[in-house]
Amino acid sequence: MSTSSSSSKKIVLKSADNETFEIDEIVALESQAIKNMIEDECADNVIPLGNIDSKTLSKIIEYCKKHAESPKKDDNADIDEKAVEDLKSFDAEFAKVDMPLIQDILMAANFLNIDNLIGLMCRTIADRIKGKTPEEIRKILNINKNDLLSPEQEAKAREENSWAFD
Amino acid sequence: MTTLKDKTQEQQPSNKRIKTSSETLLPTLLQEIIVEILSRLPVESLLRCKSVCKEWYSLISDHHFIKSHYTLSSTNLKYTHHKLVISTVPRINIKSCSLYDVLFNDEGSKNVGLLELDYPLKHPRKSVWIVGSCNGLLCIAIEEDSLFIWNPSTRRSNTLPYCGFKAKAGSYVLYGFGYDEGSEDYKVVGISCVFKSGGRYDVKVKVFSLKLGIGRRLGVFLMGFRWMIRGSFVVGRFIGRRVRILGRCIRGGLFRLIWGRRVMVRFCSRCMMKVIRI
Repeated sequence: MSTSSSSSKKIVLKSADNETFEIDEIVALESQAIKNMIEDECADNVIPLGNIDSKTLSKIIEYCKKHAESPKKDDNADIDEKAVEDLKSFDAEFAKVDMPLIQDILMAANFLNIDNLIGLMCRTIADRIKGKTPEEIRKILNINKNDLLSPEQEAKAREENSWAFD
Repeated sequence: MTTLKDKTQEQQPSNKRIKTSSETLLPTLLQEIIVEILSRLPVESLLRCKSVCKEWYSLISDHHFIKSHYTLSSTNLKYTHHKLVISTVPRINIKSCSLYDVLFNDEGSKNVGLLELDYPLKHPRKSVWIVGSCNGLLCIAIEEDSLFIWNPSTRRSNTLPYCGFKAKAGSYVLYGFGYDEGSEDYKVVGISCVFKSGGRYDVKVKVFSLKLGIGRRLGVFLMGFRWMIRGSFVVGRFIGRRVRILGRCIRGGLFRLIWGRRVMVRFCSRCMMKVIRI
């Protein structure tokens, strides 16, 4: 279904690097934060997003467009299974990006309050660190080396759960 | 959660994580996001994640996190984190497999990986009995007299005090395991029944508390109650000072036991209804 008729209201988002994105209001409403701004009528024509760069923002818009077009679960009890499968495979493809971008998207989705996207990104990260050793996880997520456990704490943690390290 | 945040800040006052200009440093994830990610991991991965850094260690050890992780896993409708735990013949082994595989795996019976679990107090000649399960914990009895509560996910266990109920000829022992919401404590109810001459029964009832680590004798019923057949408890609930246990006897009838100040034992009609008051 196409929602982009000429009469539909447009919203303009501006990224940190001053790129502007014109999108349909219905796409922007996927973000709870923007929805609140629009409802409270405190959104001007252009919404500046000072902490989201254009690369991240365009990914987020791609996600919101797809999800805005798909029938919502609570709209209709018997939505066709093809649409659900289609959305699932879109999500799986969408998440096939490198870790820095995933983290950027996650931070931005958290700021914009897009629940489904936060969930998708958290699931993706969880899947990538599942079954990995602490060293591998630190590398994947680039964990601050200043925050490591002391050798004694580390030994204690390993001893308590030695079976999980087998 | 405030206490948790305070704790984390105390631990790392000098190295507050800020996004630096260095391109190699990924954006720092907020604590609430890290919690969201960790909540989706199985327990085995979580235990390994404790060694990742101090922040993760304190997050994963936190009481609130453990509770919410359990709630999320247990309400997962696909049962991906659920385990089926069984004891196999001869009754010295406990094995587990993924409930998801059993229910949804098309090649189910072939692909269900039964994993043998090394439970505490395992003995090559002593039988093991899974008394019951509650909130991811198992209550296990060895030779019907040594009881312990075991978390098969973390492999931690707590031994309960010796119950003194010896299973011997002419007697039997029954246990029920449940969570007492009133005192936020796990409890085990044990009943020992010894047949005496003249058709009498000597019945003892004890309640064991995991928190207090003691067993308390609820009562001795010298006259006993006529309990001809062996049954098993399926649900044990503790309401205030009362203990309520629902069970199913071998003949299929339900029986109910309620303990309060006035002790009452009720059985279903199939097992000869008997009410005892003290």
